[in-house]
Amino acid sequence: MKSNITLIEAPELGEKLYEFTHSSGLKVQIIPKKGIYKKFAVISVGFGAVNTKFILPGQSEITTVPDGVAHFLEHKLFEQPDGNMLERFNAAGARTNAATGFSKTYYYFNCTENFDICFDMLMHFVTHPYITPENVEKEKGIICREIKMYEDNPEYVSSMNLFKLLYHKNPVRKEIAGSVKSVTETTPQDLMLCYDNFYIPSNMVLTVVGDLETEKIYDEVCRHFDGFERKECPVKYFEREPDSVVAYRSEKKMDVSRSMFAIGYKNDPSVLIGDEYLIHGLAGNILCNMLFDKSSVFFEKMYEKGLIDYSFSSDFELDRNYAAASLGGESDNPEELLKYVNEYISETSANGINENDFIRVKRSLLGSDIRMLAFPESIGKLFSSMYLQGIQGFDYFNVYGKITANDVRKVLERVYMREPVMSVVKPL
Amino acid sequence: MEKIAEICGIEFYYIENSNFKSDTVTVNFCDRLDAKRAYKNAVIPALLWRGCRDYPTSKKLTVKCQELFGTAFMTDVGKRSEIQHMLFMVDFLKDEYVKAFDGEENFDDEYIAKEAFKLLIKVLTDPVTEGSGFSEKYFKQECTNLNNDIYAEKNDKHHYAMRRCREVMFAGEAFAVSELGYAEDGENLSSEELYDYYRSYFLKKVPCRVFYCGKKRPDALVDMFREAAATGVFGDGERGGAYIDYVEKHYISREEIKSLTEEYEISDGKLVMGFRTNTPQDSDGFFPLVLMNTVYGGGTSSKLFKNVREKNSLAYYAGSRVSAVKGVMFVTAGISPDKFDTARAIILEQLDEIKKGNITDEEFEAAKNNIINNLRNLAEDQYSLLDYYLDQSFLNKSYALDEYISNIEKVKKEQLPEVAKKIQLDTVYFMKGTKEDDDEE
Repeated sequence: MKSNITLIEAPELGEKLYEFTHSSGLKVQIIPKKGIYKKFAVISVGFGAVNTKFILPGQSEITTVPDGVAHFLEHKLFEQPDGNMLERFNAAGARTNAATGFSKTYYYFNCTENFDICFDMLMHFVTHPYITPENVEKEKGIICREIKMYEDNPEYVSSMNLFKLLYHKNPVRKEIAGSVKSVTETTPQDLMLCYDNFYIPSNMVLTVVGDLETEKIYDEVCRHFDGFERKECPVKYFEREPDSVVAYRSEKKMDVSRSMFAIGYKNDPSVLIGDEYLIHGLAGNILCNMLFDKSSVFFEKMYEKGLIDYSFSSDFELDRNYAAASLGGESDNPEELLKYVNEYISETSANGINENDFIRVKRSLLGSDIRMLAFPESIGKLFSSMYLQGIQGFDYFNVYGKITANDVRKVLERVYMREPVMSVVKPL
Repeated sequence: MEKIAEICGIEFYYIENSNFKSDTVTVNFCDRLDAKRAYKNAVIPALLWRGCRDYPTSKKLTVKCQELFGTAFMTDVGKRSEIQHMLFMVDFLKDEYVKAFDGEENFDDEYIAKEAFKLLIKVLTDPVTEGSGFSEKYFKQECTNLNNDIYAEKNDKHHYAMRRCREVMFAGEAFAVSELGYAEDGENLSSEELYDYYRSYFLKKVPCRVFYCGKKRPDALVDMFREAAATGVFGDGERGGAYIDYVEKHYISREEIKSLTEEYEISDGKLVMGFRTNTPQDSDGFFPLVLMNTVYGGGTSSKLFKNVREKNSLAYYAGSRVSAVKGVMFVTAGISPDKFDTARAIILEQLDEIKKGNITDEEFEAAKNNIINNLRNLAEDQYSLLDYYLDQSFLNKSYALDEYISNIEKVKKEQLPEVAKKIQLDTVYFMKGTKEDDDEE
């Protein structure tokens, strides 16, 4: 085994991980899966929709690019001089796709055959952009159709409006794809500027999962990345986000059968240092399930009252750049539901966290997370996304053992004890 | 896949697989879609999930599942061509992973599995009752929820446009019936009538197949079903078959092509075109048809993707889906309202290209690889695998996964224009957006 490859084992999960850092700064994770056909590879780049302002290395001025540039770049990378990569992967029998999130962009494929060809193509197209004035112009039409498609999706609209209520300055309040106007204004220069500065190996992680030879992956990575030097990443600039929210209510009318609501609590991830980040994230997830899942008193009561149905869900989102806890679903009377939510949170805070509920929900979530590890795509995406947040995948599982009811109590006080905001999409 | 038992007409199938961290059981009630029964069938799964005698509330059921290391228990109602599919699924962690949990004592072998099976059978056969009906409160609430789901179908415009096209194309046929039923059928339904239906028809007469995917044969599961059956709850074994008919009508004349445009306040228009394939599932043309559809509109190397999206920037998505079994193909695209004629023309023109035999070797090989990869991928995820075998169970002529793959491999390019020539346009449905562009910022 090459000397700089480290092996980390988690026998209780039935998984292991090989990892190494290439001289270019690229981080590589290999998760072996003996005896299964499916293979998965993903490259995640630490550049997403929120990174529209940054300070380039050696400069002091802030550079601003149009909204939606990360998403535009994601579309464009699939285009190569010899055709569209979507087509080439398809021809090899693989399924490929990419997604742009608030703070990352990732490119991946799944296959059962032709892994070597696909792996080669993935590493090649992510590192070789082909951006011309003509193909940028052509892509604008497609992206604008995509933006229009999202505008018709009431769930998307209600969650987007929630971020607009919660955040004053943080770019998560803007659509990931940008607006028709910002897309129309985007130039090939904008795209190349972002590409050259953010698509550098030290700002990427490559994760592969499957019945694969570690040494061969290592050699292939070297073949593609040996020519890259370690480069400095621009400083991602964020305007200071006030602690307050923008407003408490927003309403939009759409062609829906009943109201869709999104209730949100603003949270601030910047104060979480070291281990606190992961503990806060998992404790928050346990708490939001304890408070609102189908085993909760709240769900039962509201369901009986007909204020919610099975579409009701709760989420605890935590990212290095933004964080929020939310509730969503359909209801005939979101205002009344919100009143109950507020009462319920005060009661829970007064009565304290039930230790038995805590143990049960924690056990249940760990069980669900372990089940997901069986699937190459799930484990690959989890490890890739964790790495970009500075976390090694198995640590995510190890932290379960460390979390106490007290951590959960802290999240309750910090996140849920403030006044929530609500966005509603109402029938016409 | 191996058939391991049949109890009161309920067929049990075992699919061996040890690659997953959990084992899965699905109980599939498969009734022929019928406007009279659709609503009743649709409300039963949700109603049963409200509780059984041992765990009389959803809350208590959920607590039990959570104690079983996050066992997932879900119910659903779906549609497979003209079959209404009522699903009960339990997915639970394999014993060996319990050691990942701090301070967990060693459980008896198969403890989680046995508890999960028991829960499943309880939920299916021992609901909370009141007098000679279901619990009145649960009954009313679940009818309300189902009605809301029925009204909510229009919220997802893409899905709704597909449904509208199907309704127009198959007016009067079982295939057009909604899997959720119709809200007016709930108005005069009583909890007693539904309970009687559930006891005398749903459990006893609806074709039912149980699939299990795991490391070893689920003897405990079969034993528990047998025990339950001894009480007579599953009847005497006379159940109709569940099968999918080939379209009731084929080869229409040109005058019969239907066209309908409806206006909605949306910004992206949804175009759906329905075609009749005129190639039966048990004919030689079946596998060529599956391939032809992929060349035409399945995925990113397809003619539709290349020409509607990439070349003309008309849409973000454009593709075709074939229910080869049912003998229909649908093309969908999201387009701006003024591009209707252009998009429709390109979609038909691309089909003509295939009819003329204009298929490159690359397109053909890509389609083949794509289908085979998708099929192999099925085996890597127990939910898809169970789904595949359920679908196969509806056919006169069914194929094991490997057999299906080798049949795809055998198809020759020359066969594609032949099946394409039989395809006829039947219905053009356009959901037209009337929303003005409002691009603030």
